[in-house]
Amino acid sequence: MSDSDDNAFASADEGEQKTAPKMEAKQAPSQEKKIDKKPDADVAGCKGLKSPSKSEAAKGKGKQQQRNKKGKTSATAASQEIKGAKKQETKPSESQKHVEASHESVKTEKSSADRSAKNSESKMQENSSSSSQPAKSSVENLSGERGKNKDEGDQGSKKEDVKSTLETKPQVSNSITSPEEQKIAESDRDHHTPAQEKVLHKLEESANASSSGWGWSSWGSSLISAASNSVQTFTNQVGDGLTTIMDTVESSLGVPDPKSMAEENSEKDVKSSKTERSEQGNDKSENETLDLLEDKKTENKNTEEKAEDTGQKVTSQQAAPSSASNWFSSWGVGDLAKKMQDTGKSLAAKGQTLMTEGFDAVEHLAAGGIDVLENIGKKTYNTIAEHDPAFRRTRQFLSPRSNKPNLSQTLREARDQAEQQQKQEEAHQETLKAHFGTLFDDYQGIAHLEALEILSNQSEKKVHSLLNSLASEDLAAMKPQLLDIKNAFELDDSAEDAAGDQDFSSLVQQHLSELELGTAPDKLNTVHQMVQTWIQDFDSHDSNHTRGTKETHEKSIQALAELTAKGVEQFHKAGEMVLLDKDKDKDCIERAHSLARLTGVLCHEIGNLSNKFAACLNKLAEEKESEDVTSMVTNIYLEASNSSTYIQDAFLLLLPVLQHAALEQAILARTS
Amino acid sequence: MSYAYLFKYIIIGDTGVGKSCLLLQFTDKRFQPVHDLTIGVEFGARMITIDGKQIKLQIWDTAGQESFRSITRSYYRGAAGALLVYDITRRDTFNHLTTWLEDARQHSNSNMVIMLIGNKSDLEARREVKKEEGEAFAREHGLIFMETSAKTAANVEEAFINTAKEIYQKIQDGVFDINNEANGIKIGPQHSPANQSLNVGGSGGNQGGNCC
Repeated sequence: MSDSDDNAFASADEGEQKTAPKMEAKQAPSQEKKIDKKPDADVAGCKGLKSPSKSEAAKGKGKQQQRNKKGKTSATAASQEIKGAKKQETKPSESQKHVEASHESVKTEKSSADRSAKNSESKMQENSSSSSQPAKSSVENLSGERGKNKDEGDQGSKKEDVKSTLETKPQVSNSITSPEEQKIAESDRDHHTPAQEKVLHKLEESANASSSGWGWSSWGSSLISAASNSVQTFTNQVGDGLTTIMDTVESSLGVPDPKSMAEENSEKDVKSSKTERSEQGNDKSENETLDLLEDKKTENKNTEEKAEDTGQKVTSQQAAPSSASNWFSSWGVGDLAKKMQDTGKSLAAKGQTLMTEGFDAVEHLAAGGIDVLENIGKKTYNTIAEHDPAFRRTRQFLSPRSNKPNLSQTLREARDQAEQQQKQEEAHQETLKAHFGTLFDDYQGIAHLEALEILSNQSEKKVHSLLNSLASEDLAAMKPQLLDIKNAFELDDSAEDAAGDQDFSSLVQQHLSELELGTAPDKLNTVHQMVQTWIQDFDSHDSNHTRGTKETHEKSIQALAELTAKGVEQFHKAGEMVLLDKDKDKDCIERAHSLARLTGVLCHEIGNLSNKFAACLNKLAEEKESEDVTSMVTNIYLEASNSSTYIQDAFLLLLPVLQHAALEQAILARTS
Repeated sequence: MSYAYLFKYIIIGDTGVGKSCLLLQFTDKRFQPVHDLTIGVEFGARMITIDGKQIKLQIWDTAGQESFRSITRSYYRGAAGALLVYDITRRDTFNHLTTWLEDARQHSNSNMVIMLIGNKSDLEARREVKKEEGEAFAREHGLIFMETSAKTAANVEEAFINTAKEIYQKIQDGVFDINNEANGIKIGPQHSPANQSLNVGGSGGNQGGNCC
């Protein structure tokens, strides 16, 4: 909070450093001295841990390793993971699975020649129990951070660096804090070791001094300890619950946005030197705590390890706030720190109770299972609810997008969209009514075209194979006929220009009878008759037409599509009949010419009808001057040309069919 | 009128067993006692819904006459489903099933779903082929079996739709390559684009739900 605090820490730190010449790690000794505890074997381990941090080994990897380890290691780490997941996108479940593997991974990382990694590993080896793994991992993490800090270049202010890294990732630090605290509380409750109590005390003091918001961590830790225990037992299920707990805790405390913190931090970087010192002091005190804890480690190894872990985490966490103290003080710390402290203190008692309950619950986990977890969750929920009425902050945190639409809004939008969609659908259906392709398909024009195509392709293959099988003189004899048929399929476009009236029905009748295939033009004539009747009906009303332009347009497109489909069908049937007709007397060339003329008639009629429909539309436009029919008229002519193309395509598909028939006839004639 | 899939069906079987009547009953829901002889192939189409998906059935109703066989065989290719129809009042139509089946298997893709249909089930008095015989034949040849009546519309819908369900299941199982149109399946034209904003709103609601 204040510079004086920082200075005090800094001085202490310096003194400690001086007094600790023997130790590899300067921090460890300093801590010991501060607390006045006798160093243990564990203490040595601690030093080892810290010394590596000083070493430059853990550079870029440091961060990653530490995070990975955090994630992988443990239930405690679960909370970390959860937070880490946000940043690193590490999956908690995965990490949990790898709890056991963490040990190994640690070694691998160690192989990357990081001293810190080695130290941590050695530590881990010391603590062989599985439950101790989390602690180790966290230790590793810490060391990694420090190593990184070194890399950044400030040797004297390793801790400051740690803090800075932590600051840049405030959430990480927070997560670290919370587990640590919980462990402390846990140990306190369980063993009531004086040393541990001292540690707690120290922590509180330091928290107050640095105004880093120890309070929240101390109560939050209790929550998390319960949670972490349960996690260790039921890693999988707890994962989710823990996330919720952590999230709620964080949100209820109004944890600041990591990004903003990081930005602030960078801004205040200049002033950091002082802060660094103070942080170092803090760090040492934390280390002391850790040493102390290790010292007093007796029966319950697990707890102690946790505590130790906690101690280290404390260090890191504290480092973060203290390094941040500069900027904290600069922006008045006021809001955050006060809030944190207040809430923390007031919640401390609560947390203890809750933790007790949680612990009891954990003990019953084997029997109670998820029910107990649920219970814990509910308690947590209630506790948070007391200090965050209506969960306003919690909600804000969980759904940071303040502009998120509420339910009614969403529903309204959904309804609007549904209406819009319906309208679009209706409009779509409307356009389909006048969509040539769709109508052509509805009248099975496409199917007939497809079937005709199948026949045509087959005939073409057959023609090729027959031609190959023919002797050269037979081939020469056949060639003129095949060429004549081909010539008959050369369409002249002149017929289309004359768009006058014609006796469609009789012409169609005539050409089809020329084919002598027994196919009746019934369908074609029926459709044509219908269209003619409609147009005559239209023309009979000189004015006051009941039909609108839209209806007229639809009718014209529909008429064109239907007539075209029937025309294609007629060609398809003709093709089938040509193939089936075994009568050798029928001249295929004649049939080809008849079909060509039929095509001409059909195309002519299409043009004729499109003209008539266009005239109808124009008449309507004259009557109702407001309406613009240009696009509709254009559309009619466009689809008319489309229609003619379909008919001509169908006609051209008959060429191989007729050639096939001609060849078979010739071969039959020859053999007989 | 957009659809997710288009299935091509063929209806095959002896002349006069009621193939065109089945199609008419299915597409137009009406029965025409006197039907013209089918020349070559006729077509019908109808939209059905399977598993919430719109599926268009494009049905090729082939001529049953022997003289048309050479042509109708050409149409087997590219069918996803086949309705093999016999007349329960005419044993010869049942006896010809083997020939039809061989023909169909030979000229179509191997995954084609074949539904055996004993039609004219309304003419119980004139029945010549027992239902059990049809069932046995279907079992023996791996077909689906149903007795229908195009006149009373009994089982007509079911026959078409069950075939479609079988095809759909084969699509789900990955048996059919839907991108190969030779299998008789086409993917429909894309519907109007999905409402993005609506989806976003939905996910937002989910998030809100998680908080408590």
